[in-house]
Amino acid sequence: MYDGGKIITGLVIALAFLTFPFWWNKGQAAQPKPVPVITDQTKAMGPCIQPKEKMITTHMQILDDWRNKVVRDAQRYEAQYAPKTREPEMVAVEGAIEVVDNSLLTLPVIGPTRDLVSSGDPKLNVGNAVQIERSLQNSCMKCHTSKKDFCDKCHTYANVDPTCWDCHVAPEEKKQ
Amino acid sequence: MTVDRRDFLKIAGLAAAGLSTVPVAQVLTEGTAMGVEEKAPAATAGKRWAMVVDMRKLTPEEVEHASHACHEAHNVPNIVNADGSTDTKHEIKWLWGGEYEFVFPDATSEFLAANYKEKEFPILCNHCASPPCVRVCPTQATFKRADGIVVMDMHRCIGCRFCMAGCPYGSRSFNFMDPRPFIKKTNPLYPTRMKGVVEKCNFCAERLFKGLKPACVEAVHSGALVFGDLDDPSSDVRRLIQEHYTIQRKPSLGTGPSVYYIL
Ligand code: HEC
Ligand code: HEC
Ligand code: HEC
Repeated sequence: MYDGGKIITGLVIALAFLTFPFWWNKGQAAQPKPVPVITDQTKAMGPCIQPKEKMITTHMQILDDWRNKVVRDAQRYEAQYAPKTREPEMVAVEGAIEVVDNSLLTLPVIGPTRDLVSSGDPKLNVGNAVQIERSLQNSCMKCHTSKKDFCDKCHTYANVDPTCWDCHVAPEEKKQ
Repeated sequence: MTVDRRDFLKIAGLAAAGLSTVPVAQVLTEGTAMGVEEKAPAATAGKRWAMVVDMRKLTPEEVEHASHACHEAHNVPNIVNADGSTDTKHEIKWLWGGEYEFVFPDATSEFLAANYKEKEFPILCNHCASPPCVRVCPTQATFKRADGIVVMDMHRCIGCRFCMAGCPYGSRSFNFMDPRPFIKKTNPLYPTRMKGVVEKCNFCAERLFKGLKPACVEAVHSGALVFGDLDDPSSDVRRLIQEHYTIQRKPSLGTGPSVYYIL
């Protein structure tokens, strides 16, 4: 074999390059899965607007839907009912409140979200209903009071950087 | 007759050219402008919001109060120069005061009564019946709600400023810089804006939802600003417009302003 030494040296260097990512990370623990903080204060405010699993995967769609409904269709509130418990007259609720069927809603959830509507129709206070103000600042962030310990925990990990906070005002972070 | 390759290509080319005119023909025949009224949302149907400004009662201090209340409620920045004076090239305004000759340039004369000349007239978005800003917006970020309010969907604004060119009243401001450093006290209940979007008065759409009056109306205690529904024959705005002679800004342009002034 001609120039055997040179070829083998070249191969070794090439191999070292190709495997670089593997041995560079060796000994380092994998990025831990992010744990968004749900404080006792958040829990005391009541359950999330949808079950946890659904929130994790669809919260961006919910927010997108909300902003179109609020700004473009002028429907700032939604009233969620478990379909079985919905009484006929509830369908006729007019105004800024949209009636939404939520088949996942089984318990009569009475969270503080229901108090967000001061001028709501009294009829809405019957049955298994939750009224929700569709608002990033005035609803999500009323319960999830820290952007840093909640939204950012996952977003930094997943490397997503929503531009919402250029305009929407995040709650003031408490100093540790 | 045989068609050779050259003839085929000629015919195909002509046919393609013909096809390409179809979209143009459609646009010309449909004749609808972009962005004119979408569906009517249940929440606001059957209302037509308007404002009456009673200049017999309104003092310059009250215009100042109204402007202040509005700008505080909506996180409107106060953009100033290094020496503290207003930066008139970059300032953002939703509601402010102006002189008669600026507000009603087509209804003035050389010998206008002095008391009109001295007055301070509140200026805000007129929420026109046929808003030119809505027609020119390429993304439908500005649109007219069924209740007459001309609102901006900030999420769609690309900052092209066609609307500013279209508005004959100068009601719109452009964010040349990040507004946040110029907001003294941020209202946590309402978003700010960012560099590169246009903004203007929204007739307090976010307060009307809750059954509240606009912030400026609430700040003027003399009752010189009156807000209400023009479609309701017993509303205060209808009564005032029927009982008094009112004028609108630049009516000859045919925009149909929803802000009426009693002189
Ligand atoms: C009434 C208070 C409340 C409101 C309003 C609320 N949440 Fe929640 N949220 C919670 C609680 C409590 C949990 C924990 C649920 C659990 O552990 O089962 C939660 C969980 C979540 C999770 C899953 C977190 C995890 O542990 O993985 C996401 C994501 C989330 N919320 C996003 C939002 C968004 C976005 C909004 C606004 C559209 C919102 N929430 C509105 C109380 C609320
Ligand atoms: C359980 C982890 C988790 C929590 C908690 C969480 N997010 Fe997310 N969020 C994600 C992930 C992951 C994505 C990216 C999804 C994708 O790109 O498909 C995302 C995407 C988004 C997007 C879309 C971003 C884009 O660029 O399109 C928005 C908006 C958003 N999140 C808002 C929020 C807000 C507001 C909160 C806090 C109330 C929050 N999220 C809390 C995991 C989370
Ligand atoms: C250019 C500034 C701007 C940006 C960027 C922006 N918003 Fe908004 N957003 C607004 C304004 C202004 C309103 C109208 C508020 C009102 O009428 O109460 C609004 C309203 C909303 C609403 C309904 C009302 C409320 O109180 O929250 C939601 C939900 C919303 N935005 C979500 C988002 C999300 C999610 C993002 C990021 C993907 C985002 N916005 C980015 C300015 C912005």
